[in-house]
Amino acid sequence: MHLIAAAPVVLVATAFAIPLIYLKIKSVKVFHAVALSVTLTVFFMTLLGYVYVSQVGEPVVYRMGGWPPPLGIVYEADSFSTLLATYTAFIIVFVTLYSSWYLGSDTGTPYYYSLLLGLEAGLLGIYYTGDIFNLFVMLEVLGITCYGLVAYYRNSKEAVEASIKYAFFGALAGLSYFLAAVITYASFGNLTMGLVAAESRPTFRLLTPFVDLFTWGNVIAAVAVILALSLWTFTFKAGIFPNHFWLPDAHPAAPTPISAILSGLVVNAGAYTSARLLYTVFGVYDPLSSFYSLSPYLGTVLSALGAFSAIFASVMMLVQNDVKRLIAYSTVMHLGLIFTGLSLGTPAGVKAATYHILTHAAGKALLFMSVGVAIEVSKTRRIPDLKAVGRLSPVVGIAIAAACFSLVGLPPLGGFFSKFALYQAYIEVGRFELVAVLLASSGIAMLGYLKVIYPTLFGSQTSDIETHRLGGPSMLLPLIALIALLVILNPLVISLAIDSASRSLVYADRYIIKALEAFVNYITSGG
Amino acid sequence: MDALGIATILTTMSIVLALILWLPISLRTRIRRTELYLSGEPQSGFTVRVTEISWAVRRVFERIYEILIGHVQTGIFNDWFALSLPYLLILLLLLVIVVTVRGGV
Repeated sequence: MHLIAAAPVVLVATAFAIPLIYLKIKSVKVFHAVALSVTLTVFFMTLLGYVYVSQVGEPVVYRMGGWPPPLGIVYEADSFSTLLATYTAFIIVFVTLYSSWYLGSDTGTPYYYSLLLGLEAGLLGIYYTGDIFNLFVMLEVLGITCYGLVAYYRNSKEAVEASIKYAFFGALAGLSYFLAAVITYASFGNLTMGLVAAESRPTFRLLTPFVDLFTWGNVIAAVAVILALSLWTFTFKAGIFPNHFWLPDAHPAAPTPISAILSGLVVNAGAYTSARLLYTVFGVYDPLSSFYSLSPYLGTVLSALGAFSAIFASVMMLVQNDVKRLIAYSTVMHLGLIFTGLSLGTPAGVKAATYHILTHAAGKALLFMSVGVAIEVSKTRRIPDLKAVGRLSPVVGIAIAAACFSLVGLPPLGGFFSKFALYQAYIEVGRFELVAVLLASSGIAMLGYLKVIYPTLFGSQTSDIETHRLGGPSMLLPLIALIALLVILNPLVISLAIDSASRSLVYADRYIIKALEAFVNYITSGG
Repeated sequence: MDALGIATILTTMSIVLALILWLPISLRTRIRRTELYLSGEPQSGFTVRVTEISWAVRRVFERIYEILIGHVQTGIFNDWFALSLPYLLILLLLLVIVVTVRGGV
């Protein structure tokens, strides 16, 4: 089995095995070790997958059970998906390590890890899959595990309510995408992303006329409905206004390591799926696609929603008293900026959005984990009551400052370079109103981040702090690693990888050809 | 009939059925007002301390915050529907109109 297909399988198998093992083994330490070793193994698997795809220079197709497209489900991984999958697996390793500090000997630990590994499987499945229906399944895997993790503190009314809200909205969003998948199947005759992409481009229909056999009815009108339903779902997953309502409730209610994953990684699934559908599958921004005429309208809607999300969320950050809620609004803001980049339809816009996905994920995970230490020792999420942990633990203090500064966009941290890339992408297409949105939202958000920095770094409350909770490698190592990551994420190091990923998304030819090859090879080899 | 036609007919039928079922209920029942949910806005006391930097912003844009907290980010399901479903409908209408007017390619 290829590594890209094996990674989600390993995670799902372990997720189901953990509750069974718990029937016999009651030591929580065992589950900390199991979860860490599995996430570490999966990270190396995704890394090898990324290296392999980079070396061959084209997407890799894996046929589940040997069934070719369009009969079976395929995983199709290109530079874009493998980069995001590897990055996700990397951050989850450190979040898992941090979880062992956070949870300690909590008796719910086995169930926590069971859901966490299921969540990672869902995320990797979303990135790797080349099948529109399998994407729905993976979105549901991701959703269900997230609902469970948000309600982890099931004795807390807020957590249960936030989880119900999230699940209710998530079910509606899932239904909407399911309807889109049904219409796709009815109109295109298959659900393989690469083949639907071929049917969407007249040039491929000329070269491979057999793909036209699948098409049925008014495809262009059907795609308009498919895109509307899908984008509604994906903007929900990404927390874009007005589908962000669940986010400021759900992210703070979850355990802090899960907040880090939800805000740093899970929302990226919405951005990724939007980009995959718009750029690769239907080629809305590809002049050779049948659906190119939709691009200015979709671009306008997405950039308007993204811009409004950024401004709205930054303004809402200022009046928050709950520190996790403030950071959750910051997520809405950053995803808004990412969508404005994706809506431009240019290679520079996609590159900047991809870059911002990476820097935001690292910054947000670091901020949640470092502020989580302050919450843990202060026993409150109220900002004015947070203890000055930065004065007692320099690593935690630097982590809070570095995460905030990166999210604001101050050099030399990664956030500065990704925001600068967005700025350049806006200028390139003359979208000066988006430049204003970027600067205004960053400026307003700066005041919000200062609300967090001040009490935790410069506050006077240092009494009653449980200093023994401020140490330990399982808490410090993730913070140090993510601080280093924010420094490493500069164009000198990461530019080639992001360039290759964004090119793979914008120019979908190789993605389509590999899917067609898998189909044609099966036919010509006589099955 | 193509996929869109079938989808349109089925959706229209379900909307009509829902309306037929809902109308008699809505005429009989009054809206029940409930307490605000536990989570969601507004949180208890959206006050910002004078010592905080954002205090001035909060004061200057008092009216905007009243609208945002009181009408947009309320944390109540119905308010969310009131904003989110029109977004879906606008998206659908916009794209269908574009396709109809421009012919797609």
